[in-house]
Amino acid sequence: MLSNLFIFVNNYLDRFLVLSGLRKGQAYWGTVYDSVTKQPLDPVVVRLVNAHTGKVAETCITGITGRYGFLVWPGKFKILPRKSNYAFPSQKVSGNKDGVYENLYHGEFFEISEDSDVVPFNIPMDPVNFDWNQKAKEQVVKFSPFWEHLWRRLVSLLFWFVLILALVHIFFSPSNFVYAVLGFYVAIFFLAMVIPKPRRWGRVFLGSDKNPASEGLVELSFPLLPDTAIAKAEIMADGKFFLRADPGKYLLKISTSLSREDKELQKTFSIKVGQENVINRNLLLK
Amino acid sequence: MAKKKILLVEDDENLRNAMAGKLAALPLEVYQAADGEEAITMILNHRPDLVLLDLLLPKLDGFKVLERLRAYPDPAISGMRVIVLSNLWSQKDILQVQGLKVADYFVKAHTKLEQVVVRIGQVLEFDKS
Repeated sequence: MLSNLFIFVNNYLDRFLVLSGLRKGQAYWGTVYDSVTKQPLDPVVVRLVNAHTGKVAETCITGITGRYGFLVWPGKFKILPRKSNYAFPSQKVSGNKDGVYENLYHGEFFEISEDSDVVPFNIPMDPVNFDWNQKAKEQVVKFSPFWEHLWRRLVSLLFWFVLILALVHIFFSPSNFVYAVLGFYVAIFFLAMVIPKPRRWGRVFLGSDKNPASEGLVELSFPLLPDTAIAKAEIMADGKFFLRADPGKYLLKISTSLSREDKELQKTFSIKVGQENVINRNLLLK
Repeated sequence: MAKKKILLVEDDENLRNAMAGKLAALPLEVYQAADGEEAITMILNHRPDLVLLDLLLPKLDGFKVLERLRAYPDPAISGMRVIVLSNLWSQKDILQVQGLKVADYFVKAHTKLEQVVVRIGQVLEFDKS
């Protein structure tokens, strides 16, 4: 499918543009983290509250890497995260960035104003007491926010250093090689302006007529364990769904009924998830 | 008719309470344990009909709890139904747990608690004793 080929290429191009510093990284999810150590927190029960009704619109639990996500319709919301031994909103971190994370959230109302989209805030929480789970999972999750940040900075610095070097060479010792390097940079700047940011959600269509599937369940499993669903998501009325997964190969099953008892399997896809860690392709049932 | 019993094994108190709150919708007697050793004690004392088990636990992890259950001489204990609810979801972890005969495996980050409650209801309704 051409649209999926575009999505695939777009994902890789975006990753390069973000690494080079030409484009701000888009979050495909939010992360709840310890405001002091910057380590991701789990399990955090994250509730999305509708500002108009005061009711909980969605609830999810963060994964071992602290990630969470909601795909919601336009509206006004706020987020309430809760975890034992941690307090929110953070008193230790204020503002929109803290040197490691950006797009920080502190309990304010926000709006999803256009189409249904993913909520991507990073949420700092303050440690109050010792948390056994945070200590125990250091053996399971190797995450160093300092080195992650440093790596991205180094790649970006190298990108700009090569550009400056090429510009200097143009004046003092121009060559075909230097022209080629500058041509490459022109192409990259152009792409940074014209290509859209990759989307954060997948979409199910009934067929090539592009009518969206308006109800159903999407389930992700390992190819060797097809009967154990490791991730599930409901398909929204516009056919969109939000599913996070680590990079790898999976089976994706789409069912037309929301009830497990009445599940009627429509189709199973073999898919590959890339570094964007979400499934953002189009899926046709027929 | 006596209520069916379920044991929630989860070290995070907030999540344990959230899950207990969801289970209030079912006609169940809910017991809670915060670590693996407490889970074993509660199982032996209360003989729940189902255990909802986390894997990363203090004192005795969920894998060892399962191994001890399955090795127990009393078939009512060794055959106890277990649903795993964990944030570990590698193929290796799932295969290891499936080898210890669990009724289902849910990943906390990718599952709504309501889906777990539905599955618990299904498992307990199939009890013919």
